[in-house]
Amino acid sequence: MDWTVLLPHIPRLMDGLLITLWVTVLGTLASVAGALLLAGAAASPFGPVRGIVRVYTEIILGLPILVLLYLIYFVAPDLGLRLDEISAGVLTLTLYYSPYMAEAIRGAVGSIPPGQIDAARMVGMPGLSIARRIVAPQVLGLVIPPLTGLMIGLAKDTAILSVISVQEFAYRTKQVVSRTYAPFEVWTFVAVVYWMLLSAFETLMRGAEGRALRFRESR
Amino acid sequence: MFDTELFLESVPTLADAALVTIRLTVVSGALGLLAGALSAAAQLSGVTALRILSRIYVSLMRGTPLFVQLLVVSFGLPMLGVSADPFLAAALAIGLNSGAYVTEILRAGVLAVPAGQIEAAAAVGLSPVRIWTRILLPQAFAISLPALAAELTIVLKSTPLASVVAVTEMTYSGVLIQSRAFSAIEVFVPIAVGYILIAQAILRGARHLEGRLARARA
Amino acid sequence: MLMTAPPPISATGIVKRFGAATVLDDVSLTVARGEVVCVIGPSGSGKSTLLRCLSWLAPPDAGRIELAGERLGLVDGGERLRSAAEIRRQRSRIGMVFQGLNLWPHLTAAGNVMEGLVTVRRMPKAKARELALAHLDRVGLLAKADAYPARLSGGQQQRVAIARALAMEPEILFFDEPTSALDPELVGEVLDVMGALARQHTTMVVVTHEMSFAAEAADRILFMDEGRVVEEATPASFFGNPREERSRRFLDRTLSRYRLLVRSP
Repeated sequence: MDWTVLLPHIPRLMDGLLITLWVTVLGTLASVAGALLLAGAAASPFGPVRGIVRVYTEIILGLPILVLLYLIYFVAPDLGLRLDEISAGVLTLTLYYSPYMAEAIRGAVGSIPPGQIDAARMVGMPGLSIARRIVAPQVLGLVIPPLTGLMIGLAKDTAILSVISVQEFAYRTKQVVSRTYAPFEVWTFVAVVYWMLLSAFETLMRGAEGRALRFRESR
Repeated sequence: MFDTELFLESVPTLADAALVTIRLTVVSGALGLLAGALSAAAQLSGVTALRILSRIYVSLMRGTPLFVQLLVVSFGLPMLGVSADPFLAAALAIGLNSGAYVTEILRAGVLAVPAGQIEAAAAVGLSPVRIWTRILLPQAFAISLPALAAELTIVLKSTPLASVVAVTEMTYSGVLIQSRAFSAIEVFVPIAVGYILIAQAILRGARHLEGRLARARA
Repeated sequence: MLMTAPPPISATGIVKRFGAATVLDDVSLTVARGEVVCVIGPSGSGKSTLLRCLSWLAPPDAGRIELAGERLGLVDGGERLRSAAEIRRQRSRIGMVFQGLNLWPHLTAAGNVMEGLVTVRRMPKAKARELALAHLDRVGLLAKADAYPARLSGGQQQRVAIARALAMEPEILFFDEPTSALDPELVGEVLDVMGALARQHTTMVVVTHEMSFAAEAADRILFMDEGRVVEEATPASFFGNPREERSRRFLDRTLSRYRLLVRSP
């Protein structure tokens, strides 16, 4: 094993890492927006709207993200939707992660005792104030753990975009492998980088959760 | 626009590949359950070294993309002198990855069994091994069943990644047809439907099993 | 009688159904200013539903409710629903303390009391806090003003909930079994606060299983069973000499349990 073959290629890998981070941030923001939309639609008074959300969720629950990516990148152009690689990638991540994140949000909202809402109604608070001042501050803390898991999943799934030639971390890694002929060393190095970044992110989020839910500490 | 002929020609190939997908899902799922059960037992064992080992395993698996794990396993096995059949390498990587999530599921399941039951079992004189096999595990499994079924659908959804180590499962088979025929819709839409059906079968099967377990206890 | 102000709450012919079940069947109740009414009865008799109807949390299917002379929920005379804003304004004139511990956990004790004053009454924060502290003092919790609910005992949480309801200066206070979720040793402090309110002639409707509280604090007892008011009487007459057979049976069962409790060491 020779780890020094890696050294000249580090800048190339870091360029890829930047793209991975960029796609992760875009995908996360779009997924959270999509999730809020879906969670809202799932609570809609109109049956058909709820039905569409349910069917869509069931489909995503059974569909591999790679197949979704192929559908968007290879099939959608036949139907008139032509996207560049990065847009197709971000759209895939968004369509795939929104329903999972919507479930996380619904779970957090559902865990707030209905009595708290009744109490707010009895004080005379309007629905919007109840959502903003009673529900949201608690939900914000409660969704952090499931959302963190999903964001980590999303960050890892950006590696799949390499199959449609998005020049992200995994794609650059493949290039480096083909130049160094040291696949094990290179992929192990890349795994360690992913692991350190994602572990740091998880620790950070755990801190954020602790701060957001500090009011729950009984001592 | 939809080439029916191409679709009909592809069906047998895709059906064969679907069987590979199902086999890969089952083998990976079983490996994941085994790895997860061992790792959960290690975490609950009270032996510090085992607990730390299990923690590192879970953190590594959760912190790196499966895509990368697959490549590390498939390039790493030959270095250890193991000749790597692509199917086995893929099943091993997917299974080990899933095992990390199964660890958490089973751990939560065991912890959900009321502590009083363990004390009661110990008071009756059951040995620790019997407490695990007769009291804890059956209940933990029943409690964890919905989460384990959801995890198995995620294993199913991870199998397309086996294409990176050249296992011709359903998705890769579709890519091969598509690269020959230059047409995607006839291939990827049936593939998508195939995955959704298998996933539904898993979830419904689990619900059925859950009902049977509940009835058996009622 | 001279001109009098309309009663804080007056309900006639309240009916509430959930699906096929009739939970409230022609219930009427008028509470005079300064009066304390205790509603007792077996579980499932419709006591809590009555309070939810009277506060429009569960709008009744039939009947008429007046809040200080103003038709609640519906527009006067007609059967048209009031606007959401109107209903909110009406609700804010009713104070309610619930069975469960329903403080908002992300706000301090003072924050809980201030919330309605600031968001609904549009009171400046400093003024709202001043008022909140005064009400917390009333329930004996001034020292806990800046504590989060997680750091308060169940009894203290219910006392903050009482302060939260009082701060809105409601026409009437509803208590829905406020002590039934509490550990036995915490019940007393909540009942003490409620007893003090009763002695100050706060208008209250209290749904409770605490018979000794009802006997001491109530001006009037309403005994409900199967969605109907079975007996309405003064505490002395109800507990001393119940008119109705069903009241007698209920009291026998409940009070004998009490006696057993008292006898056991």
